[in-house]
Amino acid sequence: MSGQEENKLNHKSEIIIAGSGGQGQIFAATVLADAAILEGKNVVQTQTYGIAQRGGFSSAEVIMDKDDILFHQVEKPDMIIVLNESAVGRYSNTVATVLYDNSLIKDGKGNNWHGLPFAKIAAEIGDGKVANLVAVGAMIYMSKVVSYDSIVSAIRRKFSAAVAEKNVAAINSGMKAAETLIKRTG
Amino acid sequence: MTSTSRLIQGNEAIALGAFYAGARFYAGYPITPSTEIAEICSRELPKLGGTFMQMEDELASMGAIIGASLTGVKSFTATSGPGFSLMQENLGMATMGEVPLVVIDIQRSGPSTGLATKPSQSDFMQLRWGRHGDQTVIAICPSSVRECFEMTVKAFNLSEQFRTPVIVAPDEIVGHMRENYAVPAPGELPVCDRIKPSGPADGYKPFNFEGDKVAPLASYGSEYIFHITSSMHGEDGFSNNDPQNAARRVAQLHKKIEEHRGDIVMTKSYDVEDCDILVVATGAVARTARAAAAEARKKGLKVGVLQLITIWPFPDVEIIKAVEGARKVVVAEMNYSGQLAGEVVKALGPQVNLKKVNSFNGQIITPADILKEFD
Repeated sequence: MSGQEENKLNHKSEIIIAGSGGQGQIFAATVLADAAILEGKNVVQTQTYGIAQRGGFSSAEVIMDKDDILFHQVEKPDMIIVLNESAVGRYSNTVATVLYDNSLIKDGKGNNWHGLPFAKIAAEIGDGKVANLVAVGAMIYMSKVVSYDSIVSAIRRKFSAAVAEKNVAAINSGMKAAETLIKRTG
Repeated sequence: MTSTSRLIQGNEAIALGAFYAGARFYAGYPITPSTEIAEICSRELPKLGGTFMQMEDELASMGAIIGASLTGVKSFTATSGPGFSLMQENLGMATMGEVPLVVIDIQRSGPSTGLATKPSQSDFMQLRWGRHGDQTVIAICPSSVRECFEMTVKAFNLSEQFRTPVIVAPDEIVGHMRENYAVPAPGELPVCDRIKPSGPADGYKPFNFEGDKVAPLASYGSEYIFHITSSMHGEDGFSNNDPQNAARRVAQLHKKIEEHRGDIVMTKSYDVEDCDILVVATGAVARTARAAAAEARKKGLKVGVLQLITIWPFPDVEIIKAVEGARKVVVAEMNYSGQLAGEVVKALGPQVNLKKVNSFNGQIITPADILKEFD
């Protein structure tokens, strides 16, 4: 896999972040959407979840495009982040690049599935809750849907300095893990 | 897109649109998928000098906004299908008492409490006919975050202008969707206020309308003392069983809306001029329809889309105009029975070549679902 895919700045990009309720999929999607807005793109961010506050399948989507976005649901995802086992089955046949948390999910479902230990990395940097942003960091390293600078600006606009830096650290760790993975697998 | 464009949720845009229009009172009972509106009101209205009240139920919520509006404060509530059912009785009173107010109904899947977190468009008939008695209503269905904001402002304007409840009814997709949007600066969108009486307080008649104009509405707490009742009343607001008065009053409740449909009925058309196939849709499904039409145009099919923004009064004239020259009409909506399709048949006649595309499992209609009907 090429770690430096074509820069997608001027193309439509579609992202899915899936897991179970409470893993911060919607938050991660809004950070990506904010970053895309900073780059002058149009965005549509949607989500699907059940009636439980935590647990159960839940996913968030982001579509980014220089043009107007009509249909609001992702049809051809460029990248899917899978944060736990409950979401694996839904994407077992996808042709999109999948980044999955291999500290929580045993196996990927094909050559397009790439495992990184998002939850473990988050715990190592001191906050298990930021696994979602570790995954976003890995994703932007691999796909370039938005730039690192835009993500960091989006985070800094959302949080006070101390909290922002913890989240930026999660992005950095995710990017580093993706870089290591790419070097290892070529 | 301006530099102040930011990520805003449909429900947030509705709350911000209400504040922009001058709403300063919200009473409600939270329900998915409308809860964000109550949350934002509870946080923001006090900062604007307004009031947020969490009520014991939806009946009380409607009662509270009727009372608040009658003191001269623009008032609203938000709910979803199950709560909207409970509001119907007092909503009827607001219609009869000619009280301006706005109700937000974020449509979710039924019947009954159904699929609480999933979208539908199955309240169209409840919007129109949920109340007993022969009355009419204004109902609007936005399809984007921008329309959530703009149509909420418009809803308040219409309610003030025509002294009537106005319902804004996005589906769950639109209520929960986030898009980049730059909130307009004050003054960019028109904001209307109700006409208040200017004559002497003595002898003020709250229902003394002239021609096609509604009567000026005084505020409770001012020097104007007046009575509002859900029962048949005369110009002075007190009980009146005279048949001539009843006929005049019922007709006026209809006519004040019907005769101004030009100010009320909003649609958007996309490539309808030369279309062989016309797709009629509203809310999130209008976006699906436009995506399907764009795809079909690439294959050389002449497909146009008529997006209904106002649902009631129903845009029958606009549909008749848009369908001219088309050989087929496709009506796509998130319900089983074809609530919009039935109205389209009513407008175009039973011989119309009409295909229905429906979803009723809490899942949205995709462009592929609509494209199938173009062959």
